[in-house]
Amino acid sequence: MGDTVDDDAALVQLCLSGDAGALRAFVERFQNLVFRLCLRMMGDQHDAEDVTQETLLRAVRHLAHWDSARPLRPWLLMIAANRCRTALERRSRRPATAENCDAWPADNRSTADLGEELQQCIQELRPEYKICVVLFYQQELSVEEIAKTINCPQGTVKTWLYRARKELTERLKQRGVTDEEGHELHRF
Amino acid sequence: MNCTDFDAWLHDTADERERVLSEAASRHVADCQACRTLWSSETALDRAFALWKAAPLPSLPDNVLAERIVAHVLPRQLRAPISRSRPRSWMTVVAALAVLVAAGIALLRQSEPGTPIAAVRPPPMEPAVPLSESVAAVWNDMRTTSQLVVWETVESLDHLAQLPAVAPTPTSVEIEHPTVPAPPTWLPWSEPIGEQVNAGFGFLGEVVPMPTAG
Repeated sequence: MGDTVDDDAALVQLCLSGDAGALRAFVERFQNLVFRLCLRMMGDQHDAEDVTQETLLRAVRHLAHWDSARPLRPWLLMIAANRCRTALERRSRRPATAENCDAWPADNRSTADLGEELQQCIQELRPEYKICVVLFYQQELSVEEIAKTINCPQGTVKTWLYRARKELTERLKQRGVTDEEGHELHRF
Repeated sequence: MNCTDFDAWLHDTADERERVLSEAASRHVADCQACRTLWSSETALDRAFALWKAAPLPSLPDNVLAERIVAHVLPRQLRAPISRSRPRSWMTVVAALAVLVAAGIALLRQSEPGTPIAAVRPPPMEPAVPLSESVAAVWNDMRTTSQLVVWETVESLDHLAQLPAVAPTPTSVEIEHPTVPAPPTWLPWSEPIGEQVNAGFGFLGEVVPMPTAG
C-alpha cells in the first residue's frame, strides 16, 4: 500500500499506523539519498552502509517527532549528518588499517581521476567542513537549508564553505593534481 | 580592489555555484599574479567538484535494507511498547490508590478523639471453659456470622445435650473492660450448660443488642 503513496507526510502517517508495506516503501524511497550522503562523508562503502542503516532505523523510530509542516528530506539528512559525524569520531579512535588509510599509494593515484582525488581531499577535511561541502555540492542544498539541517547560523555555514574550498585547493596542490599556478595537471 | 578585498569577495560568493568575476575583481586579477593564481585554483576546484558530483555512485539493493529494518522495527517499536506500557501505568495507579486508602484509614483511626485503640479492638479472650467440638464449631460460626445469626445460635444452645462434668467449672470470667457494665445473664438456661455458656459467652452482651419484641 505504501509504495503507491507519493506524499511524504501521508507515507509517514501510514508508517506510524504500523503498516509494514509503508515502512518498506519509506526505506526504499530514501535509502539511496541517505546512502550517497554517507558514502561521501565516510569514503568507505561498508561504513556508509552501516551508517545508512543506523540513520534509517533512527529515523523510523523517531518518525512521530518529525514536524510534518517541514520537508522530510532535510530532516533525514540532518540525522544522517549526525550519524556520520559520530561514526567518523568513532573511526578516528580506531587504529588505521589498510582499508581506511587516507594516504593512497602512488600507483593507485595514477589511475584516479580528478573527482576521485577530490573525494580523497574531502575525506581529510574537518567533519563540519565536510558536511557543508557534501550538503552543498552533492545534495545541492542552499546555505539556508544547510544551516537549518546542521543547526548553526548561515554565516557560519558560508565561512565553513569558504575555508573548506581553501583547504581543498591546497590539498589538491599537495597531491600534485594542480600546480602552483592553480592549473590542473593532465597526468591521467 | 586590493588582495584583501578580493579574498573578501571570494568569501562572499562562496555560496554561489557558478561564480563569475565581477568587474572590479576581474581588473584586480589582471593586475595581481597571486590573486590570478588563487582564482585559477578556484576554477580548477569547481571543475573537480563537477566531476566529483557526476561520478556514478553505487546504490543499495531495493529490498535488503527495507526488510531488515521492517523486521527490526515493527515488532519492537510499533507494537510492543503499546502492550508493555499500559499495564505498567494501570498497575502503578492501582498501587498508588491502595497506599493512599491504607494511609487514610490509619489516619482516621488515630485521629478519632477519645477512642483508644483498645476500645475499638478488644483484647482476644481465651475461652475459660474446655469446649466440646460442637461448641467450638458454633464458636467459629459466631465469630464469622452476623449479629442476628449469633443471637439465634446462642438461643439454640438450650437444645444441646448436657455436657458431662469432667472438668472443674469456673464460676466467672474476668473481662478487663472498665467502661462497660457487667454483662447480663442468659436466662433461662439450666445447669451446667447454661452456666458454662453464660461464663464463656457472656461478653456477647456487650456487643450484641438484645432483640426487640416481635
